[in-house]
Amino acid sequence: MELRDDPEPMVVFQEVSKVYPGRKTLFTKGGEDVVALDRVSFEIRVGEIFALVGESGSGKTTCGRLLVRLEKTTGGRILFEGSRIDLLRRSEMKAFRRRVQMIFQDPYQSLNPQLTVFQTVVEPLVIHGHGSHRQREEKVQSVLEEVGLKPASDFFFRYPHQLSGGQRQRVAVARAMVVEPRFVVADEPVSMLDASIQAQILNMLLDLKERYSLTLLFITHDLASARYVSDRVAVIYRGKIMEYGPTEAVIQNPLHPYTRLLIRAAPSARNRGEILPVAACPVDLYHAPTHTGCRFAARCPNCTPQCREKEADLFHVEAGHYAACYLHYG
Amino acid sequence: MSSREGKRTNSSKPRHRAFPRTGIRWLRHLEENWRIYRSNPMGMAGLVLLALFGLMALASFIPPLIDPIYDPMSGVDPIIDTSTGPSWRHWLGTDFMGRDIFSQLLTGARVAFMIGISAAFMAVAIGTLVGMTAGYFGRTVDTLLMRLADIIMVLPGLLVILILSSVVGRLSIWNLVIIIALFKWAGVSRVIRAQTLSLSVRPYIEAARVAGASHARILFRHILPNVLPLSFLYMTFGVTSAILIEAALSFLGFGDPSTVSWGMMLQWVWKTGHMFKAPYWLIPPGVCISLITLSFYLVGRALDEVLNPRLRKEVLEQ
Repeated sequence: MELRDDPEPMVVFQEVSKVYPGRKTLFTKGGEDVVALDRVSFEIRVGEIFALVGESGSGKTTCGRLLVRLEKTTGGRILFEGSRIDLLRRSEMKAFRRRVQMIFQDPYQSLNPQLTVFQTVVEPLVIHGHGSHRQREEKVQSVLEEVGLKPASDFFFRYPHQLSGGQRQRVAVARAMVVEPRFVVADEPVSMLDASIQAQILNMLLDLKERYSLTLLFITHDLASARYVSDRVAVIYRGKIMEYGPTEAVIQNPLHPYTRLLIRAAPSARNRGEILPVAACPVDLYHAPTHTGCRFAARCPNCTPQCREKEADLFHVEAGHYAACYLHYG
Repeated sequence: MSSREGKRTNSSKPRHRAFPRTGIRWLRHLEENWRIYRSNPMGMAGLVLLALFGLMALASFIPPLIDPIYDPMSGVDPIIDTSTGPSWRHWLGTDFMGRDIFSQLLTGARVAFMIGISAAFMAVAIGTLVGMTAGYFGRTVDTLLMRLADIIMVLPGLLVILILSSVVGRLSIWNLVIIIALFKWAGVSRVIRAQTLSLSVRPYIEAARVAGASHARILFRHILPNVLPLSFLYMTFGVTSAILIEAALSFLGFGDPSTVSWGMMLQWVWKTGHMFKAPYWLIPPGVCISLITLSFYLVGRALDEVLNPRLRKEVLEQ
């Protein structure tokens, strides 16, 4: 199966797997392995915002953590600008750390309570040895103003506990942007914020993307915000990509029953508390399915005997739009 | 519940909700924490006692200045050559060779502080470093360091020091301090390791890693400031045990004979056969050892309550 339709993508996931081994001790046999990602493949093109959508436990955050090398893959490979990130040498790693940054989900946890805003934002510059002290100060100031903390000098010496949630997330964004990265992983950057602030932060991210010609991996459980910011979207379920394609195509014409379910489950003015019979079905998200069939079969309204036997691979249905479902085979 | 307590509970309730407490805020919100500390009568008693001993330690410089006969070590009263009871000339009496017991007692306070604080500081410094390293790097490093800590914790410290000093001969006071520190870091390292384990998975540590921070940078910039309050707390407990060990060793005759400590004073009482004849000589150093360890312990417990909201009664009652 060939997924590469861009000659020089920024990021490529090739059959990436991540398995957390069950804990074994001297006296216990150990738990079952937890499969967070099961042969996930996708690519992120230069200059796009790629959204990864899934429910909790689907492995979407794991993708982001693997990509910034907070964790190591247990199978497959991840390419960044053409080179495998698990084979980077020390000097290359340093450059990688400068070009790839991450924005974390919870701004209450991602800032060190002991450090002031200035200390937090300047740290990446210090680590990478950028400029003189004066230049760093100016850079921090301009970045803080770009993320909407104006006047920046008012925020320099504040501690995280003196900031609101939105302001904290802006500081976290400033920390990521201060080294002018090429690629940013945004792991649910707005899910911990008030609805009124979410839009502001999303717009700010879009502005920054234009200004720095960034490429973004936007991880979210919220299809609406994915639709708002992203160019392409991948829908992930229990460690496997179910559907993958241009955002509008996926939302307007969802191919996979799971995507349809997600879209129907999204709250809207039309959909007022309608109860979805399949969505409520309890499923153990954390363990690999013991049978060989499709992992969505138990919840799927369109399930066929074929689905229970063998899982469908991602299949190219229409221009750049893939789905892993027999409904669209052939 | 008395009216004072009632008022305290009311005023502290909203604050607990407004800020989830962690160890860190202890330094930043000194005032708030002083309020919590002050509400603990035992802690205040400990602090008052400690201040008294501090005064004693400072005052220990005065008697030798007044008259060389009050020098705790070499000041022998020319007209007295046996142990005498309290008098105007010698407030607590004299020891077997006519030295002033009161000035010895004052000097003992200074020595106790010196030994206690320096041994505890060294123990806590080693324990914090080892604990942070073990907790942060995990795996083999963790296993090795923690097994080493286990070994040291199960060694009978006093016995080992006794054997050491009988092998090496008499230990100087600073050697004693070092040996005490080498036996006391293990407990601290366990606690700091546990704290580091929980800190090192916090997202802000991961954010630092994504920014490219080195291990040393993460340890000293991000983790150390967050475990320091805890280290400081353990230092107060460490002081207690260091003073006790030194007193025990000195009493058993393995102390530094050129230093006047309370344990040494007790050793002299015992060795010269005044145990049951000279209560004015026996009781003051004994009481002082008990009280100074008690005061450090009380201060430690009260600080623990400040750092650890789960220990606070008012929170449990809510």
